[in-house]
Amino acid sequence: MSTILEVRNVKKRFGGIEALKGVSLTLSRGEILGLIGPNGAGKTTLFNCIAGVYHPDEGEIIFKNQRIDKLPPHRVAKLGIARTFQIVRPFKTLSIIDNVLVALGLTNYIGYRNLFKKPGAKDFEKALDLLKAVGLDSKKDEISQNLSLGELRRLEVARALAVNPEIILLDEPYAGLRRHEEGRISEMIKELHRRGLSIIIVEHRVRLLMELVERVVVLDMGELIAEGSPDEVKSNPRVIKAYLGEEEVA
Amino acid sequence: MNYYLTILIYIGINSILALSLNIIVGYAGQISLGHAAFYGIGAYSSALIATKLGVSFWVSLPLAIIITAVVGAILGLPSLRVSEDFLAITTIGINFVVQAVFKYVKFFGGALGVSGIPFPSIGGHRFSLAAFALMTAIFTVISAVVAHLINTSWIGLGLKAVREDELAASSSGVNVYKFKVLAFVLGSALAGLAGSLYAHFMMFITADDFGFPLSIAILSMIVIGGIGTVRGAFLGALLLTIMPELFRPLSDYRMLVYAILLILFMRFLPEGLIGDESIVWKKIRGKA
Amino acid sequence: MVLQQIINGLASGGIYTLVALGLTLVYGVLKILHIAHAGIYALGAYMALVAYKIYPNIYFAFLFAMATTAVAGYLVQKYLYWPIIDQPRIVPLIASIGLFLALEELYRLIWGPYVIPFPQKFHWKTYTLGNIRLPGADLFVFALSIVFLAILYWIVNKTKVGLAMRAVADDKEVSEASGINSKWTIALSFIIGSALAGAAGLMVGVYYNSIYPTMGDVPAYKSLAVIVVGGMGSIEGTVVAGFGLGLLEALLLGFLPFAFPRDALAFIAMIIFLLIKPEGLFGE
Repeated sequence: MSTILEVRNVKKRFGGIEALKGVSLTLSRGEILGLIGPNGAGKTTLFNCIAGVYHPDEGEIIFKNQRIDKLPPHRVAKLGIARTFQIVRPFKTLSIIDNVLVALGLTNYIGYRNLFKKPGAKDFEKALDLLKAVGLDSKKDEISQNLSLGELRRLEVARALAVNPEIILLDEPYAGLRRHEEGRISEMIKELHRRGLSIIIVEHRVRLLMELVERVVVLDMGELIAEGSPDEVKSNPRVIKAYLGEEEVA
Repeated sequence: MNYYLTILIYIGINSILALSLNIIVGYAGQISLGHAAFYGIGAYSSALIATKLGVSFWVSLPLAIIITAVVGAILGLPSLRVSEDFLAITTIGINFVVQAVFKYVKFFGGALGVSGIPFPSIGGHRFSLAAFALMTAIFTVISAVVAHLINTSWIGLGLKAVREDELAASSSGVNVYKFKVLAFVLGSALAGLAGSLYAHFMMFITADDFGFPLSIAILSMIVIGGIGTVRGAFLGALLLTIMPELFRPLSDYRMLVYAILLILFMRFLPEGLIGDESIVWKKIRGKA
Repeated sequence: MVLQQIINGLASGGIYTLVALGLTLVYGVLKILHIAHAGIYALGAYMALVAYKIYPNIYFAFLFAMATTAVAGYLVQKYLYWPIIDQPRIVPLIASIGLFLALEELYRLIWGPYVIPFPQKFHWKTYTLGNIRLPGADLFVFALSIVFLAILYWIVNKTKVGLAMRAVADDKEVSEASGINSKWTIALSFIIGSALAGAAGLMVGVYYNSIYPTMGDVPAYKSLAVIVVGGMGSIEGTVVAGFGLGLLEALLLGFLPFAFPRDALAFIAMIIFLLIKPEGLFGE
């Protein structure tokens, strides 16, 4: 498998705090990578660096042989990296289908020629397809702020898919969900994998990732402390120590 | 008759103003408390170009629109750096500064303002009041069409995404900075149109016409009507233009009534009369 | 000569600080730009007029003015701001501006548009220290401001109530989870801030011997400038910026070779900070 994303020795500090102390990892094309670690380890910070929300103070991030660590988020999205958020961020007063359409309009926002064109039938079709993929097509005209958390998480995935990504970063997609909703998310992630997407999932409960991912990378206090299969990582003493005081690792 | 035509012209100009502010505040969600500044820039540009260069309304109008749009882009830049509350204060500041420039800088006529602004004419024939009213109506319709076009096109989606959540918008491919500036450019361009119409209608303008109270009035129009909607902008403009006339008998109490109405609306009907979320609107459409 | 300007600057600085503090306290807990606050400031001056009709005594007037403005502040937050707190930011903003307008109109309609002198004449002594002349009025205003600031400092830093106010300003949800009653804390911030503004209004009425409906206009935008420069929501910032502005105005007025519109300084300072350091001196 070829490498699609490479993070090289990325450092990021906020004021006096070093959130990332030199993190490196690689993601192979079509791989599902788990990124775990206790709260505050720097997982979301790393996602934000990859997605262009933060720019690393040192180090590089390379996507398909192109450096992206200095690009703004909308450019990173256009290149093919999509992400979801730990706390869902829907466009609250817009309908579900409009939420997805916003992201579909990606290519139209560049330049000025297409800005005044209206979304066409093809765009609506594509949006509907994406909603079908996550099981929200029946609610397409509902205002998104009326949705349940599980539905909102699925909407975020649909919106992320709308930018036509090769990589999708999922930030704690299971957070706040009840057991029966978890299964739906797992199914969705497996479907994304089948479609050939490369995925990084941040999750601080390893249990949920066990069946989904082939490889796990562990972050603690801004440093990578372990790497391997879910089983290997679960029994790694350094990992167990890092989680001490938190919810049980498995 | 002339009285009614004049009122209609005012309603038209105010509608264009309301629609223009709606792009910035309603669609893009940027707080702008100084919109009268753009109105004034449009008016003064048009007035000065016509009087100092001796050209007709038909030349000064498009130039005024362009100038206002350019200034709008520049004055919209602070919205990229500061957010919400700071933007509110900044736009108030912009209003006062622009007004002060008009008032104290000789080039703009100072305290005397600009007079002798030519009424529109075609082929040497001065427009009648009715003709001006018709022209205003046409421009109003054009503005509504532009606003509707923005609302339903890709740029509208982008602006609304910026309004709802800048981070999510950015991750979905929306260049937040570009769209914020675009909102100001489009909003101020339309305000410039309104300003030019005003200048050539009144034939005399001073800095006092474009102060903070007017900015609040324009804002009130769209909030009372229903923010983010074209129909709301029209209703708000209609109400706020007619109100001073209706309340003339109250004379001394007019401002107090206006202020109390503002408070009551914000307290009890902040979605506006016919905004998307308004109870009134929902009842009209049989949904509530 | 310089000392003269400094005393003068400290006095006006004290006023600016007292008024701006109300804005800061409110912004800290509610995140609303309470523009109507300047109307409450003017209310303090007008309530002095009412107080003197009841019992002509300056101490009583102070108590009366501060009590009425405190109540006014409480009512405003309870019936106007609190119910619309979840609306988009522009709604409370317009409501506040509307309230400010309404108050000014009420003052005009009830007491007339003219400048009314303060109901008691004060004969200020000028104290001399060596060859420096210190006007009594300035000293009075400055001293009183310090007293109020000291009381506020004690409340904010040494009482449970103050701790609650700081907690809610920092993070409302977290403090609610810790058992703090944010509703009461917010109400208290308004009450304290409004009382301070009422006191400031009365002091200005005494100092300039004039009370008029639009007396809140200039303080409205100057206190905005103060909280922007100081850092919105930061009490220390407000104090530094408030006194700083007063001093700067007085010094520039005394020493600039050309005529300088005194009121423009606050504005310019505000613009500079908005462009370069919008969080202000002590802001986040």
